[in-house]
Amino acid sequence: MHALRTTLRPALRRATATLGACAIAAATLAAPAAAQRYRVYQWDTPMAGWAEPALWNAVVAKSNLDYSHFGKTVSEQGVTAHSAEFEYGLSDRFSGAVYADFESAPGLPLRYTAARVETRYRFGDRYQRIFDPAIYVEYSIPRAKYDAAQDLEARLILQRDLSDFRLVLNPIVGRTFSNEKSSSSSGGGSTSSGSSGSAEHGGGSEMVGTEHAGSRLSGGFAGGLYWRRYHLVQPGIEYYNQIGPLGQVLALRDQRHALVPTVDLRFIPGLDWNLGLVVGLTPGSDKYTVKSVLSYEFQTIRPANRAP
Amino acid sequence: MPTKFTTARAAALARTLAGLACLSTAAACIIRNPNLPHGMRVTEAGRGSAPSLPPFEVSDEATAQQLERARDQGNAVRQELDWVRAHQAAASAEMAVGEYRVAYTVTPALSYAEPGADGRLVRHDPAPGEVHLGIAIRDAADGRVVPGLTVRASLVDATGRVLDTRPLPFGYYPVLHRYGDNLRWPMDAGPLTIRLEIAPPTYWRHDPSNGDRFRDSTTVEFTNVAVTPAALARVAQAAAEPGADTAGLTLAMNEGAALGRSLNEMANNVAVSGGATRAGDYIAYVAFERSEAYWEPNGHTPDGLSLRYTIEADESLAHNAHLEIGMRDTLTGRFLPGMPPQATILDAQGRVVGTYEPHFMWHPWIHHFGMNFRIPHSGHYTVRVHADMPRYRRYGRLAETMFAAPLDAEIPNLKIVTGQK
Repeated sequence: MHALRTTLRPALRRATATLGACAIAAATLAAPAAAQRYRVYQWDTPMAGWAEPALWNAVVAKSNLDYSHFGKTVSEQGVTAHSAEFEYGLSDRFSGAVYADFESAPGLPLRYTAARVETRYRFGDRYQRIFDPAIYVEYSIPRAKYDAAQDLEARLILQRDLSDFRLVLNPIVGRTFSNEKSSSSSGGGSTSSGSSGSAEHGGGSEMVGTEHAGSRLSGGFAGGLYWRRYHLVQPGIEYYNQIGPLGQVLALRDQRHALVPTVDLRFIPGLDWNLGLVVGLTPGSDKYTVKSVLSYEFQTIRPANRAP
Repeated sequence: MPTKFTTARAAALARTLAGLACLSTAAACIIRNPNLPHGMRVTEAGRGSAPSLPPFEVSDEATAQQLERARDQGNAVRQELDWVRAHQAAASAEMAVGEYRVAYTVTPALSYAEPGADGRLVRHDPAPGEVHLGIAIRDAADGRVVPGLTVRASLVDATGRVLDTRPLPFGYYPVLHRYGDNLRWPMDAGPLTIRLEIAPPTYWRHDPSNGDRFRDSTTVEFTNVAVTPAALARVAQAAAEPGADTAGLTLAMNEGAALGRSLNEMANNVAVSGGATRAGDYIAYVAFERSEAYWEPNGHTPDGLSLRYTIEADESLAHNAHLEIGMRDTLTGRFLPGMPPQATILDAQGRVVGTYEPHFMWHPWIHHFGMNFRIPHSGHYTVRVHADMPRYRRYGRLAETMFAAPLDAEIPNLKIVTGQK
């Protein structure tokens, strides 16, 4: 018996580690169609006192992936994700926003999933540097039944205008905060359990018996190139990826990479409708997702005049 | 396989949309200034629309130093006003009303020149018994003269009878630009009320913060205005003294010098490029910036003029440059409104890129005529400026022969860099 345990222990460890990695991948990558993820944030912020409500929508049209939706494993295909956003210009450089996220999985009702708070700050004036820099920080507080992990995401926004084109780069780093701990035995036999799926939270599942799952940094990238020659219709191309936990980057096939042809439509002053077709490039990505962001900018709702 | 749109989901979505709509409506319905007093306010000089300070804050169009340059111009104007009131006016008063500081001056009638039907300047002498009613309207925040206003004046006696009513056009004065006219003052009617109706200007405004101004109509009533022949004779005698205008003219030149410092700031530190040239009685200045958004009139509401900020300039490069042109007089260096220019832009090979007609644009520290336009590429260009001579009156001996010809000037080798501000 002792010999059997001695022989099997390393094998079991390897198998458990492999299963754990797969679970991490599944939990990390099998994300809901997070509408808010498919957005390249630009350097420009709303003017002080300007308010911008927006409605974000995404529909996963085709996917082979599963994810955990309120504790149930469901197919991502057919998942719809919605976010209601309200952004406000706190100053000409600094804006804040709040989001309410909703999701419905196939056969299941639409449910509130998370609240998010975001802030953006742009540095300097345009054209002062090679890139116009800004930072974006967002904190996500999911509903407990949906996901135990809270996420902090930070983006560096780098923007450069090249004649009629605009290039925008968003390197992303995220960190997940989770209260869940895995139980471990000396035999290392326990299997991991993936936390409920929020891929963008980056490494949000549990490792076997070693550490808090949510303490890991994850990396990603979003970028876009837009042709801004005309006001009413502006086409662009965007690229997104999620590479998984930093220091333990996932295999390429398990990473999420997507190319997104987009168009911005502005037929009504102040109204911007951003549409895109997200085309997954790796097996770890949804094949096709349609995204839509409809926003309207209210001009200057702060008092303009003061009593003498 | 798309999911079914269940009743429960529809209800949840409807609740979300309703909440968002409520939030948006609340945001849109926030009163522009909940503390702004309404109605008329009584002052020592009479009564008028309740005063308020238009915005005067650091923005992406004006640094603190640049705002101070506007104040320098305004302080110079205030000194001109003080001088006119002290040395030329038989009666005057000033009060803060609406977004302005409004002063009236009653001086001896002034001769003037204005273009006739054939385009030549025609001199007019005042009729016997006339006085000159001038209204100086300054921005309540920075003190600069507010050009482009529509002002109507009425003289009202103690019984409420309107004795005279007329528009007061803008005029060029060697000292202190005003809206004014010569008129008969009914000396035997006792103290009168000067009632003014000032309509909001409909020109474009720069600056997302400070440009949101001058939306409301303004009413002013200066009461107990008494003009006596003795007072008129006294100031007329003083004005006839040799060198009587010198001090006032110096103050007007101070205003011009303050504007000149603003121009240097624009040309050297803000604009992509700028330049000026003298042509006859004019100094034409031109500057180029990248395209930028601005406020434009968008109809009227019960509260006054509606303004819309043209964010299209921020959202695309349909226009990728901004042209700014201004004219100053060579006598004092002050800004000359009411001269809409034509600008022809030529490339380095002398080919015409386009001809443009910029609009007057209020600016937080340097008024000009401006517009966004599209240029094929960055480079160096020549600008030919043409403006018809101003149609307004030139008051006083010093000004009667000024601006007798149109402005034609050329400023070469100005750099344009495409983009958005």
